[in-house]
Amino acid sequence: MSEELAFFVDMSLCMGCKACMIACKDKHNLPAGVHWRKVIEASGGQWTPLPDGSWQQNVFTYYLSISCNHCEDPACVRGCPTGACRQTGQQGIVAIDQERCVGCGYCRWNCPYSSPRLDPEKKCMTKCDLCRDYLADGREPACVAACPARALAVGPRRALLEKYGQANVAPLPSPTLTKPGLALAAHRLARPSGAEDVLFANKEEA
Amino acid sequence: MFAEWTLILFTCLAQTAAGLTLFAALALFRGHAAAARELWRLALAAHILGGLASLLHLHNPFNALYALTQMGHSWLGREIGMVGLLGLLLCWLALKGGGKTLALAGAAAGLLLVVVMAQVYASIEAAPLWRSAATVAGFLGTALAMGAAGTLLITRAMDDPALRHMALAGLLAGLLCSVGAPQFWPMPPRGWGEQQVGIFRQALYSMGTGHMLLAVFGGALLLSSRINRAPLALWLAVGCVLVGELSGRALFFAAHVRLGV
Repeated sequence: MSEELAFFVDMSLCMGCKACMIACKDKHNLPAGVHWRKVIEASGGQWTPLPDGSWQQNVFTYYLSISCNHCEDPACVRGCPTGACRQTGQQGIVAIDQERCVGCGYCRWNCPYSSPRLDPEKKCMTKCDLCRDYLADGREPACVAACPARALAVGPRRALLEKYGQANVAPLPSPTLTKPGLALAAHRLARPSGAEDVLFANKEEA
Repeated sequence: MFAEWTLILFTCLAQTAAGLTLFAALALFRGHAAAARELWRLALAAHILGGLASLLHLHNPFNALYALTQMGHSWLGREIGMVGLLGLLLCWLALKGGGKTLALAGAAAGLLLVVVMAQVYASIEAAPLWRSAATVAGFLGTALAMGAAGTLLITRAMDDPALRHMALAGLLAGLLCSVGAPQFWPMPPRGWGEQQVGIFRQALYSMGTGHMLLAVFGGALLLSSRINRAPLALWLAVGCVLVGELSGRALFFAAHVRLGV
């Protein structure tokens, strides 16, 4: 594909199995503690007692698999002090040049999705590059191919964002920050970005 | 917050160097060339120590020179450039001395470094508590307070009441800014969970109170007209101000609670 790309996630299909995470770690041989894709468990709601002694509940949980969103206005690129973090090519892939990276972590601080990760073995920041080697061979990224529910896809950015809009689901931040290349078919119980009744339930894991 | 101990040291020491450079220029303009030279040497020592701490923060410091190519768009690139520029100026001033023009250039470079350093943090959209003028005020406050404290120490034997008064004014202004800055942080933004707010309040009360107490104690000692006759008390006072600033900076890094995921 020679046009700008975006990820698409059908949240109604995602079951939180993390096969996408494992496939990514396996393909890129990532060390323990470094993962380029994470599966967010978002939950909320409560049980409310009723006067007749019964209970009412509006408890919900949904999953969201995200990696680097290869944003249109990437904060990591703006902030990188050495030019290691760059958005290049017609596909709009944001990648880190490990030959220039000092491992300061400033890209991670700037990223509202915390995508860049320090690889302690390589002593530099690393992140999802949309499996550009697979794309060059006409293959899907490892995460997309691994999803057993077919909840993940990569496609033309413009068409996906026109159809689904930019990702605006809690606990993700507002898409206005960096204009992420992420389109979502939202879960029926998903809350909009900024909703205060959504808990990022597996923060330590992600 | 203590995971960022290298940045706590680097930012405090670099701002100390900037403050000392400013007061060195003041001392030179008041005709105290020897005192100015001593202040530049102290500033250089602080700058070198701070620079070493910043190198410890990097996992691959050999690529740091690439920062000179990114000064056009990256605040962190500009910070690296300004650290280098101030370092070069301080090397010259400390080793060879300098006239008023070079002294002013050093002072300007120091102040610019502090402002650029503040922008490194204030420009991060995903860190809401840092995104205000309070960050700039806090960093300038540290530079003034530490510069003034160092000046009061170096010039303790000098008979120049006007310089002492300027240093005391700088100390008071600096401490007010650095201790007061957290009061003006944008209060916990929408979307913060109870746990995040709890962590924030805990850090604010413990480290903020420590910073304030050390600033008041150290500042009160330095304000005393008899302090110059008690060298140990003078060193204690400067030490209190330094530890207070380090505590305040630790609080600043504790306030790095992020938007988003």
